[in-house]
Amino acid sequence: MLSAECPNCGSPVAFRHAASAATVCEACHSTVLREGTDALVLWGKVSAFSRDLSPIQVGATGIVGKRPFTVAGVLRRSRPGVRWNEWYIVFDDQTTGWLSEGNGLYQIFGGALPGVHVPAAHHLSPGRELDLGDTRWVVVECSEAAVVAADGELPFAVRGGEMRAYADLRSADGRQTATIDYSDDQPALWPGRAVTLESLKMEGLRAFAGWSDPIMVSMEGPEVDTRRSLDCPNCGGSLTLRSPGTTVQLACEYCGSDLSIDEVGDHSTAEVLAAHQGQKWKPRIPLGKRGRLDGVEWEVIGAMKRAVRVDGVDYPWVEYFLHNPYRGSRFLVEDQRGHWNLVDRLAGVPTGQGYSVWSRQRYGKELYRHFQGGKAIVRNVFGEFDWQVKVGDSVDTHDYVCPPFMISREGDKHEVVWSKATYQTKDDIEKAFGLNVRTPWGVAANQPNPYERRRIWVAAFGSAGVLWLGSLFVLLLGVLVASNDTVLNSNYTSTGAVSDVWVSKPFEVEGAFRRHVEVRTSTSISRSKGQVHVALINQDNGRVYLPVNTSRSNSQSGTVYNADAGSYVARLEVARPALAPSGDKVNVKVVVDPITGFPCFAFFYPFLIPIVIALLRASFESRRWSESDHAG
Amino acid sequence: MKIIAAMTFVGLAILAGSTLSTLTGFGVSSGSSETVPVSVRDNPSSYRPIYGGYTGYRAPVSSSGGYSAGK
Repeated sequence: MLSAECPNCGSPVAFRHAASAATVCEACHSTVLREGTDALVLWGKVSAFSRDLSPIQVGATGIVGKRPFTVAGVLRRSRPGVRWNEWYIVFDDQTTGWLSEGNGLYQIFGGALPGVHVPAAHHLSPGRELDLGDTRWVVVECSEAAVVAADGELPFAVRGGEMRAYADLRSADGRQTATIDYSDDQPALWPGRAVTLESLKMEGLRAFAGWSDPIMVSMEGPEVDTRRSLDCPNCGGSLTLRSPGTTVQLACEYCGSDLSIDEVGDHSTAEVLAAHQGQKWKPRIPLGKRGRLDGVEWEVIGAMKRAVRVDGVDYPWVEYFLHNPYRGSRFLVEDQRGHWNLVDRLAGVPTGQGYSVWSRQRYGKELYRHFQGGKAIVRNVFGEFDWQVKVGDSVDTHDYVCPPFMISREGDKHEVVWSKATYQTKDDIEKAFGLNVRTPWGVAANQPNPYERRRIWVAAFGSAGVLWLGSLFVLLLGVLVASNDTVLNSNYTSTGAVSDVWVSKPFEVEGAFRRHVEVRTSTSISRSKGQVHVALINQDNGRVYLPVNTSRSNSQSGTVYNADAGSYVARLEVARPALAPSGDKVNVKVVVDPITGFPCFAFFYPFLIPIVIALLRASFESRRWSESDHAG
Repeated sequence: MKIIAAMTFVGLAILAGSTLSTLTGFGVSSGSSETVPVSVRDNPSSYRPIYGGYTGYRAPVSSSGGYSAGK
């Protein structure tokens, strides 16, 4: 460690890391450059690093893979409307890297890739693909930014305010990030990857009043109040800044004026971007409301209404800007029909399965189908945002769905942003924010199909299986309980008379239940020449049943159900239109309490259940896609 | 889930009805029947029904004065 005095003000400055070439004097904000082993040179001045709501601070530690690191310093860069931090980290082996923090995303960069020739900045545009090193990259942003503040130690000397070109890239497979730094004469490619603070196992983070996080347990330093007060320069209304440092724009909740927020030291200042005379729109969830979604507590700090316009009609939705100092930001989107989505910006880019924006996109394990595209226009703005947004801003959008997820591509000439939405139920939102929200109607683009869930199909086939087994059981029961008693089995030979009658010996039909009598008859008489008719005559009460004749077939059977109890005879008659040769054979068999048949409907009914579920599933999908660009 | 529960309920009701019908014979039609006088009971061969489904023929009245359901 090298300790010395600031060449400008004489305050003590220190170099704790051998890899550091410069440090920023805490007293006068001069950049002090180390030359040789102990000589210090005054290089220039940068603005003081005003504290935003980043949980990272100089001195915090973490681990990348198995390599411990310490945060040595920080640069704050800015381009019009956007600010972000680049934390200079020194590993225990004295190699260095950068931890970039912006738009709620954290990226680790180890160092520039040597020997890579990168194209000039003016040749790049968002969406362009290029091969650098062994990787195919997609340009997601290209612009110019300046260092606006610095703190701690740095690997090089900086002066504030110099605009330098840069380009942010994502690998085409979506796994890596990179940036091209055009600060030096020889532009360099810095490959990196997206990380989370949890994965870095960081310790010594800042503690924020009113916020806790079960993962970020190691805090260092005094608790920081996250809220600042300031007055609207247009109407004088007292405003609360809920994410100072991060917020670059605030829409006054009283007059609706768009205010540009800047940081001076640890104070925030507001400047009118566009004055309005009254806020006519208020979002359903009030600013400052906190709710736990996806296991993380979020605070609503801003909201805006956007819409796509089709055939002169606005189709609006509301985007709530959520903030958590330890987890960055999210969007909570409520569409026109009351469906909700929690949206996170994507660190990577999906891999298109074709060359058109209409193509399918793969991100992670999911394959997304194009749903719809359009131009999203900002209609109302309320509260604070970490980028400048104003009424009338528009971007081209394309949505791709793989329920319950939806990825969206939003782009203009400077930037392409991908985000991933996860469908939230009404109950999720009401439970999270303690609010009553309207019941959604219709089918949302990425709403999970309730008839596609595994448990639905398990239940459908399970119920069908149980009912079918029940049907088999009833069928078996019918076999087991039937006495199936053959009381008559006789053969008869016709005499050739016009009316040839034969009467059987008596038989009994008795019992309280199932007094069914089945009569089966077969004959060799041609149906064109005669028919056999059987009548069962109850000799006790005179009841006569006519269960069967051979008018349709030479072999017929018929059953009398629940016949009256008593003693019966079977009367058989061969009826012919005219005398015919004798000698035709007729057989009659009478069975009491036979094995009765089983209703086919009961046997096949169980299969209706999965069929109905399949039809409902198809109907749901049909309603979903009827709202897309691919309807009809 | 509600539709599955409802359809399962209906299925179980059908099964219950089928089981009841199997065990008791309850609920099924006994088919066409008529009552004949004692004279026919005592002499079943004299019974004369009118048969359906066979054109061009009508059973003659028995010369012994048997009963015909068609009259």
